[in-house]
Amino acid sequence: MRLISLQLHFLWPADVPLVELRSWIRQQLAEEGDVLRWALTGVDSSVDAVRTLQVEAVISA
Amino acid sequence: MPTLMLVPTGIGCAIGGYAGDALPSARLLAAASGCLITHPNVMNGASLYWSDSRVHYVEGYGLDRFAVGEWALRPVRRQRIGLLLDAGIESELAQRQIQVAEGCRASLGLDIGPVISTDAPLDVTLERGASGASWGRLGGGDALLRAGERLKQAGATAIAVVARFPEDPESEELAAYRQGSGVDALAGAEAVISHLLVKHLQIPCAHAPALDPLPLDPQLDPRAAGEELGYTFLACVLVGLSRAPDLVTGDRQPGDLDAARLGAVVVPDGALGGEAVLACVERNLPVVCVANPSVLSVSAEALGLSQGVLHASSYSEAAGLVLALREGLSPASLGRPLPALQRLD
Repeated sequence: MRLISLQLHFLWPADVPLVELRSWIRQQLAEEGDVLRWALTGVDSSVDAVRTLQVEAVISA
Repeated sequence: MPTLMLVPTGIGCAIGGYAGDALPSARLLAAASGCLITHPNVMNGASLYWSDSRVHYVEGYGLDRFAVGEWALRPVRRQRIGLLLDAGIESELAQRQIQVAEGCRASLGLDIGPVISTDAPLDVTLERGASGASWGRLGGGDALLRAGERLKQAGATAIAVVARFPEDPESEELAAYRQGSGVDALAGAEAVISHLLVKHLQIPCAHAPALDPLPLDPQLDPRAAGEELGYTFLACVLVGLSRAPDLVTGDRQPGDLDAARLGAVVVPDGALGGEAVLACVERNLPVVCVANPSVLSVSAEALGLSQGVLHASSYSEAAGLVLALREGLSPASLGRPLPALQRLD
């Protein structure tokens, strides 16, 4: 087993409401490996209302 | 009213970012709710602990699965706690851990055993994320799981794991933590260890680091003092696990707690980005956001969350809100001015 720490940034899609955000983030992380621990650790909003998500995670690969 | 209390690990919360210093808040919330589900970071004060039958001690991975609705919690009278020691712990320090276990058997009546050492060092590495939160990894994950499997096969229904952590007594980071201004550098790696075990074995597990005693610091912050009273951090873990609920992954029984019964979640106001909180938001649960500064700023405002959010300036106020919810009172009725009734056109 190899554990890998990740720091990822995603644009929060406008068609993903907050109540679907958890599932959406998990889908993104699943592409990296088997998710052990994760958290949304930052949300940055730009002037044009685009929101960037900062996600930190540990996965096993 | 089952209530979830979260103080995420390793983010430097002013309350709960040190040695079990959210425990008084947890006790108050347990009294207000009658049933509090929380995690080791809240309850573990190294040599200090508090046992309350209204508090359910659930490690973070299990807590997330519970909040999402995948697992349920089944209260038990006691757990048989296997003790898992990292082969990287020096023999004298390992003996200290075993003596704590012996002391908890003799003086607290806990059911502990057997003990096992991993077949290879766990090789823990500490890391810091871009956010400032502490994270970590271990090189010996397979050795950890092998030892955990053997304990479970030998009859352990819960596992206390002690891993040797790297330490630098001269580091500025440690000095800041001891003086009450830093992030717990160990916490993130501790969570990874316990998450791995719980994910693999689906039984209650919690972690205590093995560290050499530190030289006396006359400026020690009271919030960190629980970690400097003894040679180990293990006693609180054993007490917490001794009555931790079983993790139910299959069929439910009457009396099991599941997320559908939750009445509220209480969380630091900048730490709404964890899986458990987001799962509670999906359920439209009231989210009590407590002023409790940390390195994170994932607030209700940042997420665009307004409905169902209750702001509290302290855990005392949060307990009042939880009690109001438990009694069926609208929190809006307790403040002035009373918001105007909404009229639908």
